[in-house]
Amino acid sequence: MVFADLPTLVDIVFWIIALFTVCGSVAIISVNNVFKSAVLLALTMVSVAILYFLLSADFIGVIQILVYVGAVSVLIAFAVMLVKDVPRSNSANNLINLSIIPSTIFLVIIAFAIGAENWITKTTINYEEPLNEIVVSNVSWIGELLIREYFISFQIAGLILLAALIGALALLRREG
Amino acid sequence: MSFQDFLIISPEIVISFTAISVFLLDLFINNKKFLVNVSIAGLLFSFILTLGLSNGWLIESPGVYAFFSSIKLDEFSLFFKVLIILSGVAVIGSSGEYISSNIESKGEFLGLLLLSITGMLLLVSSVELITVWVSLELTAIPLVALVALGKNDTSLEASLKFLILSAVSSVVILYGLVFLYGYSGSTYFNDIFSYISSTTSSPEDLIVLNYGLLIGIILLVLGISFKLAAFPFQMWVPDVYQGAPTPITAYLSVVSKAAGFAVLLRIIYSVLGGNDFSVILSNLFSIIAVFSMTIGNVMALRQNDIKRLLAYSTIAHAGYLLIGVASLNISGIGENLYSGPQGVLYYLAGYAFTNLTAFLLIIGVSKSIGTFELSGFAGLRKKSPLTSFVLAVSVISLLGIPPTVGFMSKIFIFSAAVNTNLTWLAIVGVINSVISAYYYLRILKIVFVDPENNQSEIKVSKSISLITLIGMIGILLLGLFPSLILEIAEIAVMSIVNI
Amino acid sequence: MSIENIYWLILLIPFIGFLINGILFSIFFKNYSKISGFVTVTSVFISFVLSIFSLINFNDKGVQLLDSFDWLMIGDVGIKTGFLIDPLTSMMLIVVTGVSLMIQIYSIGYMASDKGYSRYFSFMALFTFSMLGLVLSKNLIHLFIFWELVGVSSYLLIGFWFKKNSAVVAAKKAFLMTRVGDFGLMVGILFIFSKGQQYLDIPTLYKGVSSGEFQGSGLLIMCILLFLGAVGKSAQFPLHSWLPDAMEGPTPVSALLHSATMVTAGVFLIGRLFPLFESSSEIMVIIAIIGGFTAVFAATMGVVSDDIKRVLAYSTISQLGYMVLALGSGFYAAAFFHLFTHAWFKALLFLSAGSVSHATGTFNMKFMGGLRKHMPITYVLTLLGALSLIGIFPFSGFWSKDEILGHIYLQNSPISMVLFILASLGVFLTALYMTRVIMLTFHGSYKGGISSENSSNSKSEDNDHPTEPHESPGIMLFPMIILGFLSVVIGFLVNPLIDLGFVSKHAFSHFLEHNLFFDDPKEFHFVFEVAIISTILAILGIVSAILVFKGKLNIKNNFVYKILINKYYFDEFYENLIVKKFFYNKIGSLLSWIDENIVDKSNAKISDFTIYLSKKMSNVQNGHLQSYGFVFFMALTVLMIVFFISNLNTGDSWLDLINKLNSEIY
Repeated sequence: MVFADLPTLVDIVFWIIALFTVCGSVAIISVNNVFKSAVLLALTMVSVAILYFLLSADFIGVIQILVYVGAVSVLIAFAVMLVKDVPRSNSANNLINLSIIPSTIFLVIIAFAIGAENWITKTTINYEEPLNEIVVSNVSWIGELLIREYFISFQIAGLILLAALIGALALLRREG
Repeated sequence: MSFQDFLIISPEIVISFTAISVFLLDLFINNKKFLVNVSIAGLLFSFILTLGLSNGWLIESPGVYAFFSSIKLDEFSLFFKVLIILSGVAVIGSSGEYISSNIESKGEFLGLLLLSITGMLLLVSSVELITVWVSLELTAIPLVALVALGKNDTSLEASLKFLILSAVSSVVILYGLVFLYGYSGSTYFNDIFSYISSTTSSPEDLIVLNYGLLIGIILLVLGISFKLAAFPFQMWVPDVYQGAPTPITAYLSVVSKAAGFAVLLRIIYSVLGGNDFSVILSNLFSIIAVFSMTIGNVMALRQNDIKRLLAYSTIAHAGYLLIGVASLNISGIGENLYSGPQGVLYYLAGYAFTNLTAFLLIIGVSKSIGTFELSGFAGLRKKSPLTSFVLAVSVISLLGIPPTVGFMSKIFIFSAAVNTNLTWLAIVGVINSVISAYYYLRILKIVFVDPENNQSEIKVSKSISLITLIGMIGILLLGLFPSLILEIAEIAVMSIVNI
Repeated sequence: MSIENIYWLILLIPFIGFLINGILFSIFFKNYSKISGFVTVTSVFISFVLSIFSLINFNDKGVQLLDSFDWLMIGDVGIKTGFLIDPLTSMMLIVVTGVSLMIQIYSIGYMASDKGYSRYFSFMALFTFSMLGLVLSKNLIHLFIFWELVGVSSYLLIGFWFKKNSAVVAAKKAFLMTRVGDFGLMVGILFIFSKGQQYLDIPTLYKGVSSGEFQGSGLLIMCILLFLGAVGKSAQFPLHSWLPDAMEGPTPVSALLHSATMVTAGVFLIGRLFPLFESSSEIMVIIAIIGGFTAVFAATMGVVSDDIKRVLAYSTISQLGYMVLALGSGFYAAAFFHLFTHAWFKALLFLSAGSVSHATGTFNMKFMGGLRKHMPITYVLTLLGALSLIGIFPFSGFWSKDEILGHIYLQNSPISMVLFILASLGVFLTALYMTRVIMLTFHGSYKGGISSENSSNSKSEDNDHPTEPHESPGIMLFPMIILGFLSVVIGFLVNPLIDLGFVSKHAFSHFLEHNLFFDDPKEFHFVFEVAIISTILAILGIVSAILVFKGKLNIKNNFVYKILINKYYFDEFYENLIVKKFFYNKIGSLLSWIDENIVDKSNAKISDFTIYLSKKMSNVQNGHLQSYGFVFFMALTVLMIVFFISNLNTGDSWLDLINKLNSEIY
């Protein structure tokens, strides 16, 4: 460690949360109980949301908590509870030990690439600046981007939701 | 956003509105044949609009951007739009009978298929990373449900596999896109291109310094290999093709693959600018091509289910197509700078005719014989000479024997490889074609030589007969007069090249 | 309508006829198959009218190169389709469509009771399409494709009665023997291709020849190979023996393919590539000698054959020999003038033979005789055709044959004297065998036709053929009469000695020289003494034939007769020596050893290995989602490692990178 400049509070919080996220993720796939996995997933999602807050992406952080913690994890928990016999082990997966090798290599290479890269820190897109100068949060900015630059993606996302909805209904009818 | 922006995506708008109307009409109308007709009408209307866009009836000329440069309408996207819409018409038009007897949720089936087609159309014309990714999702999500709508037991399992692996591929693609964005700071193809070309003086510079970019490209390409049904993401193909309703299998094998190649080519030629990256890209695609061809052909040898056999065959064809993608002109000199991508476009058009003909015939025949086992096709020659003739033409085209379009496609792809000093790759391709002869000729042997083993009468519906006959004529016509497509392909390729 | 579209129509309308007949009437509407004859006749008729129209148009426009349509193009390189319209093409269009039209009309009557009626007409339309494509081609690749198509349709038509064993054998023989020539042609084209891809285009080839691109020993080899193609297709010595056997097909087929049009494809090829051949004097001598020799050689065999169609076949070979001789001596216009006249009168003779056999049920002249009384119209028409073929003034054959003879006569060199003697001998022999045909068929007394042939072969099967021969129906006579009229006048009309007003002097010959490679028009002479010599020889031939017929001269049962009747033992030579002894015993057994011990065994090993590989791979394809994902990520990481390491080699070392990594983090 180089002690030239001491870590700030933000750095310390970052490292703690990052450690929490990684450990949580590993725990999700290691525990045998699906319900425990769901709870761990929620916790991990919360820590990811904190990472977003640290990056001053507060809107995304809030959405993360709302959607993943509030909706997805709860849905999984409900689904698990509704099923009578909760599958307790994943013995079908006998590749888990073998997978450690590619995962590790993948991790090293990605870390390497991220480290070696001259990342550009400022966006090169010519966004129109938000209308009012005082930006309390980035909600309004995201909102404007969604109906301006990313209008078409926004609309396509609507179609995706429609497709997912109809698809789920059709599957339901198939079952019933 | 002006009115012209909406005019430019009018084909997509028309199809998505048709999809919504089909969902709504499904609630009130009992005659489900009507829904098929509505879907076809919507597709044909959007086809006319596409023609209008290409001929300058609606806008002045192709090559314009829309929605803050997220969408670009150029000859390249028009080529693929026509290909996708016509394939959609063929799939829906010929599956009316199949839908009415095999599918419970008919309205949903048609509407979801139309939504997926909308996604494909947007995908081939998007020139912005987020639009690309969202369009990719729009193509995939409806397909998950569509695969599950089949009546056989394996449908649901196939759908689950498709859902999870499709999600994995989306994530990998997204990761790749993130690297691209992180490197260049923009999601727009043009901005990324100009940033890359401004920061590099020589290819070596770029490659050595920017591992992030390299990782991004590898992740992107391997993620897209899911769409292409190519190595290393080819393993879902046989299971899903077998489990899915056969029209969806046809759709997956033709339209999905074509859209995947469209994205790939656009990223190579518009974002990466062709020449700077050619050594890396060429090596990458060569490796993928070799594995795809070999795995597809070798695995197909022992298949007895015709859908599974054709699934492996599409993997092999993805490999042949990737030879064309790998044929980047490294030196930048010579006569045929873009013979590789031109060959790919020609190949895709020919493959659409060939594979749709084969799959639609299989829908028609297997309905009568009640099985997808190859042995069920024995004695088809006696029962239905015309059907077996058309099937023979499409199989011959898949194998690549003149005068079919399959032969010409392979000629163009292999000669493009030779032109760009990838002779070894062309040789591997030829060896693979030889291997593929074994299982294609086996189909012909079963159809024409083997004695019939069941007495079922073959009745192929009129719509399938008509569409497959058109397909057969297309196979022969494009094989005899390749310039019909090649000239268009040349213009299309030139419209995406950033120099 | 643009000019190019007219040529497209000429080419494609017979093809459409083929499709209609081949698909609609042969597969779907078998009950209406009688319409198929009408379809083919109509399509050929439209092509014929358009050909005449294009000929008239040609006189205004001169040579046209139409190549607006790209075929097989990538970028600027590739093959363009197109039509090369020069006088040769225009003339061939008229010959092909005109003769074809006459013969299709005749066929409606001749084939009326045949089971394969629509099959026959679809093949005929296919042949017409292929032949038109051949003469229109501007590109050697297309020429070769149509050349092969012509060969295929010939094969199909010779073997039309595929239940008859001899027809199948003959079809196979024709196909295989012409393949020998086709192989030469293909290698020759590849030779041209190796000189430069642009030379596949025929006009460019002309330019290349005139600028001296083709020289030296390569040129001679190239020309010999190309000429081999012509030899095979035009049944010249030594690849001649398939043509007489090809008479197993229906008679109209013999008339169209094996006398008037298809066999002239070889002559056409020499004419099409004439500048190439002309630039090598050695090949010209070879061509001339082969042509002259064939002219006499085939005629001698014609003298003794008893089958009327075989006599005509030998006559065709002999006349083709004259054309090749003329081309080899450099007389382009004379050769094609003879081709032009020959097409009409030889078609007439074949149709007459068909008409005769329609009446008697046989082609064997031993069992004919005396038909003059029963079939007067056929008799007169045959006589006209025969006189034209013999070359009696003023029938058309006289003009064209004498032009060839006169040219050779005027060319003062030792070789040309030999050639002239050969050609004159051919005239005598022609008169001899044609008179023999006339005498045996139409004079004397009737010998019973098919029924007596069967009884002489001690076959006891019943025959319902009428014992009394009768004249053929009008639909067969009509085209014969038109052809008969043309045989008489066309020679003088199109190429007159004097200015006729509506036709100028030597109009045909001058017309033919308006092409891409002749710069200065030549002088054409009519050599009076040659005309006298040939007429005397012809009359001598006629007289001696009559004498033999009357029994005044006995030629049978001597040594020469035996050789001739066995066709110089050529079939035996090919069959026993080359095929059986050489190919089958020596090369065949060697190849079969290689095949069994090396090819088969290694094939078995390779296929075993592939199947083994397939089995191994199937283990991974086990249906488990986890293994699919595992394979994907495995491949992903391996590829990443590969590309990382390959990049490291090009620039930074690992150490540099690690330093860089450290400096980035802190």
